[in-house]
Amino acid sequence: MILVTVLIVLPWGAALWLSAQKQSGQYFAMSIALVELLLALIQRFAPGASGTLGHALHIPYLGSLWTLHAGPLGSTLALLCALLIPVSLAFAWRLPEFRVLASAVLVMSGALFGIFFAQNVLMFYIFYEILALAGAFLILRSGHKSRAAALQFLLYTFVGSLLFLVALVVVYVLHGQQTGIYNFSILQLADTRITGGLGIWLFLGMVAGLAVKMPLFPLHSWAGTGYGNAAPAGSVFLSGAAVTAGAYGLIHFAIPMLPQAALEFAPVGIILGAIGTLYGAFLALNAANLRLFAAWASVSHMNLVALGLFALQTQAIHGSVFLLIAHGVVSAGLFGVVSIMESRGLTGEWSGLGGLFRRAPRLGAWMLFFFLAGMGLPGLANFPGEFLSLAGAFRVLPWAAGLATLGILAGVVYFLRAYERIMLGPLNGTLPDNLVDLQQSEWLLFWVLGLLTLWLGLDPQIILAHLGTLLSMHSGDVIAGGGHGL
Amino acid sequence: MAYSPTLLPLLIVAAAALIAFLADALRLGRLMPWLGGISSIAAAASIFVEHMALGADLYWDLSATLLGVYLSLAMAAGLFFITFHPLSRKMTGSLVGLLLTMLAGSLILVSAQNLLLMFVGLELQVLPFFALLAWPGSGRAAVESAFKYAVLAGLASAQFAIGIALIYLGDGSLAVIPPMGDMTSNVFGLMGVLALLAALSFEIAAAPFHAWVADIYQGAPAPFLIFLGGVAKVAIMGALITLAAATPKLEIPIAVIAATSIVVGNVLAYRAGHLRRMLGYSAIAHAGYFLAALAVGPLGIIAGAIYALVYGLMNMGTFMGLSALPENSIAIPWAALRERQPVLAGLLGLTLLSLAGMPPSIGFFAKLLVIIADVHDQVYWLAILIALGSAFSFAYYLSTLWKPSVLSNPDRLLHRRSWETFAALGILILLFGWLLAPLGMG
Repeated sequence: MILVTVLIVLPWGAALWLSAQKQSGQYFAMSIALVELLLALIQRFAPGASGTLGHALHIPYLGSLWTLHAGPLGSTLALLCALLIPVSLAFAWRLPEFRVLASAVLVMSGALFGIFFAQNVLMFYIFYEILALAGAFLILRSGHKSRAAALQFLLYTFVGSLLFLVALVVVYVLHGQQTGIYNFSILQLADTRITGGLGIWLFLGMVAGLAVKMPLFPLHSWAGTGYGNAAPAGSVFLSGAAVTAGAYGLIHFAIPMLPQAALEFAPVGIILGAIGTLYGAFLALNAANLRLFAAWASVSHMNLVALGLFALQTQAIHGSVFLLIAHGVVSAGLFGVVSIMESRGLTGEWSGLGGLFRRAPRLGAWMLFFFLAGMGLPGLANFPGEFLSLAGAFRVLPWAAGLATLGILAGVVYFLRAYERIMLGPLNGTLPDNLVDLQQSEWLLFWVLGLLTLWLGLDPQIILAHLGTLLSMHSGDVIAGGGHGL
Repeated sequence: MAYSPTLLPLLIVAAAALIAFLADALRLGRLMPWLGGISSIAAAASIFVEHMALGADLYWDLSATLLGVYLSLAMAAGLFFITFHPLSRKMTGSLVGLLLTMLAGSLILVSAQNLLLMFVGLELQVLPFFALLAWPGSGRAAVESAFKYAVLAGLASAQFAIGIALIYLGDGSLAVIPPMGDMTSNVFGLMGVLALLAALSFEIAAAPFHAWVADIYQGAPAPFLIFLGGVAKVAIMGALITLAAATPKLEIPIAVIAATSIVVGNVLAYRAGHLRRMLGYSAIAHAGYFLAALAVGPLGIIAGAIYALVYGLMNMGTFMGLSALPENSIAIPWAALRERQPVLAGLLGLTLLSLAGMPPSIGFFAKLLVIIADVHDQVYWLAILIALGSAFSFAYYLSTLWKPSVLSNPDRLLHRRSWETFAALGILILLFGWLLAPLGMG
């Protein structure tokens, strides 16, 4: 209880302190990030640190708001999030807006830890809103400082999450009317009887709130402007860690609350995920610059995650959770490469690139490594996740899974084409003469991410074996009755 | 009317108002804000003691007690606050007297169970504003806004009077809950109640009766908007609660006004482009959220009372923050404000977020309660409209937060060390006020 509370509150306090400072405070932020990583590691691997951890802040009719619960999925995703804080801060190290970026990232990470350990759905919602606000702040104050992009991100996520809130309140009121217990705890809400057509509307509302964060097609268009306008170091965290909140919300809250509706929605979800995978791939193929390229590649992968989730089938869900984690690491690598290039004064427009490998071979090698991982090369992180989600989805809706496979194939094309445009070919005349290759510290950072990618790819059991049963017993029964092989 | 214990808070406030009016002649004006504040606190205490007492035509029921205590305490806080503002230097005694008269009217409004008494309360709280909005030293725009307010509020009062007349014509009773049936039992009564609803909607600026609000918010001096938004409007909301609780047939017209207000308010506020006008237009949307609570049964009445209280608190915070800025500023110069008065800047930012409904501020919990009330009575469309409206409102509230604005001369900011204490208290209330909820619910 205390450990997780510290995990949630410490980054907020640090962000508050940081925003009151005049100097940029790199070392302070980094030490907080490392402390968080340590705490998350302890939380994940210490014995006896799972199950319900404690209750506090009891409000009549709303339940105990500060109820913390540690499950294997939440703790693992928290570890990913804790890992990406120092990575993102390290990539931002020399940026002039480091202080703003660090405080936004710290606020977001606190909110994410809250999301991963909350048992009360209202509290989950509160953390989710804080996450969205801090994300908008990050887009607003870093990189291109685009107000329009921040506003678009904010409107997409807030409209979605308020629809989630209305759907949640309907479930809450129905549960209260059926049992007389008015409480927002997921343990209570998960056994609400919801009949007929109402359920599917409620599930649509919840999907609107949660899938917009992933982002599922057709709610994805904020991702291009958002990731494209924030500083790439911020996008490392936005695309790697913040998106996991939506997927976690679906697995841990939306599907257990409305299992029957989830079953009915499943084909639609699979088809949307498949379309999104393919569409994201095409957008990446035609991206105008490197930032947008990385953004759409991330969207394409996240839609594959959604496809696996909505397949509601053991293999596919495990695969998609694995892909979620792998995507976090690989996407950090991709945006990290973009960040390094921008720190060298390269804009990322295709016309200003070409033949870079001759100037910066080490950067080129690492870029190739992460591009290969993004393509889903066997032995690297993405492959087991992609394979399992597709294999699971093939059993449920073969043609849609086939469509998504085309998206993966397109992935090979767009990654290789982008690599050719950036690194190969004749040396672009506009490149500066004194381009610096990777320095010692950057090199080290890539080694960390690279080894992690390799490790996840070679030994996927390290994650998969410890996920356990992801869906609650009740929803598992309902879904198994629908023939999804859970 | 014979003396009854329910009158005690009114007597305290009215006596203090009389003393304050006399004080200017005796050159004791400087002391009057403190006297007014203490007597307001005493009134709050006596309301709390009289809790649930049923007197002649005044009834301190649950929502009336809640709002009555809030109104008195808000008045006390406001009085202590404006002591440090230059506008209160001239004729301090009269100023305090007018404000206390307004408080007396507000207390009558929230607790009255008699239409005529309600009318007296309405007049008592509207008339002082004619003078307050154009207080000496506040510029030409303020005179203009006071004049507009006078004309339009006079119109609303007239409408209220016609409504009372029609209801009396209908069933020969002036009680809000007449002995037989309710006020709408015949066609005159129905017309009368609709006229009352229109008049009160006008006072809280619900669409389509909203035309005045932006001009007033733009022109009036910020310290008095603390009282207009944080006290007067809340009292009108209290009267609406009494009315809606007594006449269930009003639910449909209230729902229609609520929906129009949410849509109109949000669209106008988005297009305003001026800080004060944006706040004025967004007040329309907030009137809509409040009425959306009243549009559904008994749970809605509770939700409405809590929304009114929270709305009042948020308004107090906003205009306390704006009191430090020059009157004609169209955006908030954050950098200068943060340097001079960091806590006050924090309060202002927090109230803007709270108005938008950002959790975990009390603004969010108030909206959540309204949504729960609507969903509970299966008025789903209104709940969805509230959700969409409040999602949309983030666009304009946040753009005031992040719009860069530079003040040409930072010395025009009022700098008061003591306001920081108010701001710190305000931040605590806005962020953690919902923790007090278990006390109220037992």
